[in-house]
Amino acid sequence: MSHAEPSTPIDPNYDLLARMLADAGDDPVLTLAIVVSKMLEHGRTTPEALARLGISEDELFAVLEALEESDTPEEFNAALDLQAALQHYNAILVEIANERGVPAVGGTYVKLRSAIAAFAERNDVLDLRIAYRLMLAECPDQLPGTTPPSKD
Amino acid sequence: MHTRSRLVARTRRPGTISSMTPEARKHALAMIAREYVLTRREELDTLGTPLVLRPATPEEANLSRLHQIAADVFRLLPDDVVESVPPLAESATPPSIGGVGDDSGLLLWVVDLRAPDGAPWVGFLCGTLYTEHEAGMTPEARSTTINNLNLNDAAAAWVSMEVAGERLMVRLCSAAHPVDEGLESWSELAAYMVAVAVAAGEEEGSAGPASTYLELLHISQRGDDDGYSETSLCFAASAFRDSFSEDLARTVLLDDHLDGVEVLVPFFAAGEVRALLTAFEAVSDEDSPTGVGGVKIFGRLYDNLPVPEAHRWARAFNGDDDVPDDDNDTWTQTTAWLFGSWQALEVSPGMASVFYKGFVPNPLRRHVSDVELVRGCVREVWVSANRYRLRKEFDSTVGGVDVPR
Repeated sequence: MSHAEPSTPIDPNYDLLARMLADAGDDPVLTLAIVVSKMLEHGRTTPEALARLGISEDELFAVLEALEESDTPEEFNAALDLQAALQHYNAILVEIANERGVPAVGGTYVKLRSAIAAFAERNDVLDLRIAYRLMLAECPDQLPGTTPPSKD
Repeated sequence: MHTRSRLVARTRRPGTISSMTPEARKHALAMIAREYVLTRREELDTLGTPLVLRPATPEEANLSRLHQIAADVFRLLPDDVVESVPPLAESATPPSIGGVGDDSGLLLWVVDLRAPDGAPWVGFLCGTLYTEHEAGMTPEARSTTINNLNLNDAAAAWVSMEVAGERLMVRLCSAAHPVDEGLESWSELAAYMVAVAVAAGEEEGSAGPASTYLELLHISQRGDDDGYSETSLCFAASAFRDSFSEDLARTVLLDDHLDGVEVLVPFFAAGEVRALLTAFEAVSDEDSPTGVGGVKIFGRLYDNLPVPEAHRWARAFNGDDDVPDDDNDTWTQTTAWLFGSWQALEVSPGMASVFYKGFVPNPLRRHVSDVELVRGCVREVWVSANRYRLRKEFDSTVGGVDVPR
């Protein structure tokens, strides 16, 4: 028997959503991720269908990867946080690369990303925009690409 | 509905994700910072590549040179220490001279080696034999015993070796050096190793000749004020970092610690290789294996492992005969002057951390520059971590192979 088939018919009067929300406990995100993962596994939905909800394939893959690599809810949440931080920083770094005329692919882009991130890490600056501005002031020679003219 | 849509849109914009913890942000920054280094690894590979030496062929071998080298080493030691050393006989395979003491339980071997480019090297190996531990021991019990011995000994590596047809536990030190670069400084190091090995076999508190010699040596150098210090280690770590290209140097992190410095070097996806170097002053320190000050080194494998596997990896890193590897017939040189060993320590039920605990005594500061000290310590940890990584990757590809082989 396929796992996709419920073993007993669902009672139409049974509030499945209420039961699921109650079971979600302190970690509804984990519950939701497991539900999505199982729906995909059993062919009850597709990445394309989830994209219609605004969940991109990259985001979906990140959640599934976090699930696969985690043994505990704490690890899962830490992995999700890391993915979110990476997405956040990646978006900013693409913006900075565009400003400096560096295509967001290839070796020069990787060098630019790493230089800004290493500067931020070394100086304990968690905002990459601030780290970038500090680098422009202190060590612009470490930044590949062309520094755009100041708007001031 | 309109308000709700705006809220959803806001939470989906990159840069306004509110759930990121500072730890996650720092981790993400570290990952991005390493990306560039990982795309061009030649320099780091140079740092982490061990020198694999092969024994000379019988045609290449120069046994008279080995006798001369051994004589030069012994000349640096008092006569009563040399008398404890077993007589050295020539051996054709591999080309070497060596011997095992009948009463002293001392093993000494000088081996004719060749570098990959054919340059002549000399290998020097001395160990103290312990026969009483072996009787009727299962392999698992032997593995645990060897690990426990390593945990309690900061100055040498305990390994299982076949000596004269018998499997014995040996407390081992070894060093190799290129013959063409001059052996004067290395001979002093080798003499020091011999004295330490002889002293290890002397009855504790008996004030035997080697123990007395070492004590006098340490006293004579204690007044020189040229031992390692927190300041010298920090300077050396900075110089080590600056020896890399600018791009790479930015990713080598230094972290000040009490009496020392921790060096973090990027290492593949696993993060970084860490070596913690702390200076300490001497006699009162119960961790000092020779009663003299120096530098303690701690390094760690990046994964924790099930205890039996951790034991096997620690023994493999120590060059234990019982855990053969692909280079079983070669002499792998990482850091000649580093005393110490890899060990497994249980950190949670059933799981152990594999770590390196080493020691460089102050008297060796005359032979090893401070920067080379830092580089050598990082190399020791790097080489072993890389060996583990390669094996793990091979196993994940092929599957079902014992680790280590």
